[in-house]
Amino acid sequence: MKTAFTLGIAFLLLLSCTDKKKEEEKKMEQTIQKIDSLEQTVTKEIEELKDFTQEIEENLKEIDSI
Amino acid sequence: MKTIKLLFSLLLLFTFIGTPQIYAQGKSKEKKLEQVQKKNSKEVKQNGKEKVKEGKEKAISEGEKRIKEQKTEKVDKKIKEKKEFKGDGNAYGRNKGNLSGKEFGKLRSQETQEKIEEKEERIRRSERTLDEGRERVRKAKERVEKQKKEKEITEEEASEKEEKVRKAEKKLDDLDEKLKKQKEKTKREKKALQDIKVKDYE
Repeated sequence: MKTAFTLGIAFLLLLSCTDKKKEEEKKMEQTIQKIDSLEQTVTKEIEELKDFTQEIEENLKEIDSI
Repeated sequence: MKTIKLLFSLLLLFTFIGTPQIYAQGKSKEKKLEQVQKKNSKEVKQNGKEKVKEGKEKAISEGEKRIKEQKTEKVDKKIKEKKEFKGDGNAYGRNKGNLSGKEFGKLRSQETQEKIEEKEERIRRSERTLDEGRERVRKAKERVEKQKKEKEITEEEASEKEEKVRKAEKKLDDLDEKLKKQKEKTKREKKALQDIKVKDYE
């Protein structure tokens, strides 16, 4: 009886530990996804700005020859 | 004593069962990547051999040149494909290697921080282009005015040049607007990253 009770408690303890670990993993995954999405946005904005600046450089070269 | 032994064994068992599962996701992705890389290198080798045979049948020098070009193209393409391959899973399982979730998160956040810094540098460079551009537009305007006064150019030519200058000026205004917006956005992005860091790592 005593062994069964101990086993039961140990099982519940393990179950709660596993759940907590899974929850932490899920939270971490969400965080990384947020960071990834932020990085993608920043990369896209850098590219846009670079392209637009290059376009302007070309326009300026054109007016330099006026 | 028996109970303690039992508890200890259960804990050990749980540790052994639980740990490999965490790394399993990352390892399977690595294996997949390796397989794709092997397959690609085999294909490249095979294609190269075929092309060499064809080249020998035709003019040797011409064939070799073409093979070299094609090989380089293919290799470039494969390298690009390899770089683009990020696995099927989510960000957490991807290329994590031996890092723990928290360490991987910190690494990703550091990379994003660097990207934001890169963006700030880009903004500064674009601001320099903007300032130089304003000066160049001013000088171009002066030149056109001078040419008009001294009748070096016809009315038609003058209006054409003025139109070009106007176009460049408008683009500079657009860039100015974009830069203002991007500066604000960068501030927000920095704050967002800081919030994520504070909330989840510190």
